[in-house]
Amino acid sequence: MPQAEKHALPTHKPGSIEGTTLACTDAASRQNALQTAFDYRGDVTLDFKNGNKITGFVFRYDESPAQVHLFIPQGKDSVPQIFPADQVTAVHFTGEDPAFGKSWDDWTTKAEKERIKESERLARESVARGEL
Amino acid sequence: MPVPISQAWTVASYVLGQKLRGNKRYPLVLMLEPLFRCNLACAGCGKIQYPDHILNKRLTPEQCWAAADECGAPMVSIPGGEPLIHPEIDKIVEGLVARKKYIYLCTNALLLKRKIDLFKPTKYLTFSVHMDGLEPEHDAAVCRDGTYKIALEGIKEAVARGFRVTTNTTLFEGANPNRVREFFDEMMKLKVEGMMLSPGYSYQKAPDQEHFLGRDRTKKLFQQILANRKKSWKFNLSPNFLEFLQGNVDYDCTPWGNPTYNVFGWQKPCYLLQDGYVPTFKELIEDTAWENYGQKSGNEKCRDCMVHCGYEASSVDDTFGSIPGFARTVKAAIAYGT
Repeated sequence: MPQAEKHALPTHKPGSIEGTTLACTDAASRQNALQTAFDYRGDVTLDFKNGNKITGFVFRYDESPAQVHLFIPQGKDSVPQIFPADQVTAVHFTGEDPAFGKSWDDWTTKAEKERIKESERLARESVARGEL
Repeated sequence: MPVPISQAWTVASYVLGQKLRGNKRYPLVLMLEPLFRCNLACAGCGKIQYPDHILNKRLTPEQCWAAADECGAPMVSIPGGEPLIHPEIDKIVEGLVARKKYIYLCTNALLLKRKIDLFKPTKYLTFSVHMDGLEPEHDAAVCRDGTYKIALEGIKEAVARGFRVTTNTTLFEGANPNRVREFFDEMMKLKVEGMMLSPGYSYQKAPDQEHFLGRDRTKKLFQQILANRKKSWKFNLSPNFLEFLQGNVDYDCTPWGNPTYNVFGWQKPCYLLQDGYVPTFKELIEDTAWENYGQKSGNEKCRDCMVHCGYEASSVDDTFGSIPGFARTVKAAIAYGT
């Protein structure tokens, strides 16, 4: 299967696909790009043949009928929308990759001081949201 | 008996009913995720890594009830995220109780004392408190000091108020069997109804795959933990599932046994893998290529999985599937005192 063209945007984070783009030059590269978008944990921006750009979270990708389902952010919430997959010309991994650097190894290799600081920050954020 | 007789009877009659109807793929426990937002951020967790606008999404009570009605499983497990964050969790539970569903509300208990007045004790509701070991192990696993003590207070309060309370424990690579045994003693002192156990969840999208247990390690670990088990330990699990964890019986996965519904829809194929979503339970059951899942399918993603959401249903199905299966269950139940 031909690999989709992959190049880095200025925001590219080494070790993550955040900040990269997958161009959809044919059916196989489009399928690969949209499957990668479905697996990605952050928001993506899709380019369409008509020149439109849509940013959101790909929560579902069906190959038949070829459709891509996104949650489009609206304020603090988001709403679902469906787009024809064959109209997508490129996938940009524009949103922050929320899974990047969150493995157990990433955590344990941090200095204890840093872990405490991060843990306290996350707790403060939960308190601010009324969740603690 | 770690579950009320009425619950055991409900489940037994439900499974037998499915068997009599010749229904091979029936759900046992609905995994209902009303939100992904959590007030902890455990390293390696694959359930909470989403953009904020997704973490802010909540299933409505009506969506939750519709999913329970559509699925028809007699039990509903409510994980997340942290369900107690949901502003209408009491209403969700109330509606499920009205439907006579046996609910396991999975919580880290950080909000349990504060929110407990929202709930009334009933045989249909169990708080299943996430406890990953004794204080140092638990606090390390959830990446925040002090959580064990808060959870303990929550458990004591819930037990004192007459709620059904269980613990649920996930064991990862490096777990110390002796410390786990000490932990069981501590939990039983709290007078919880029973303990749930499972090897580490190998979430397909979890940003951490190395610390989940392989099959052989899982079996060895559970053999060490459950050898010469104390009579005081009560497990809220099928006895055959405990046998399976120790490698004494072999099952294949029942991925449709614990179907998952969340803000994206019905998750294909199971609680751990995310191969897609469909809008209806009927589509999930009828359109999923089930033959591609489970250890025996050869699917790499399923190779090491021995998690309860796939194999508890297999154990229960075995119990009611044949006379030898039923005999195995009775024998194991006597051995475990369940």
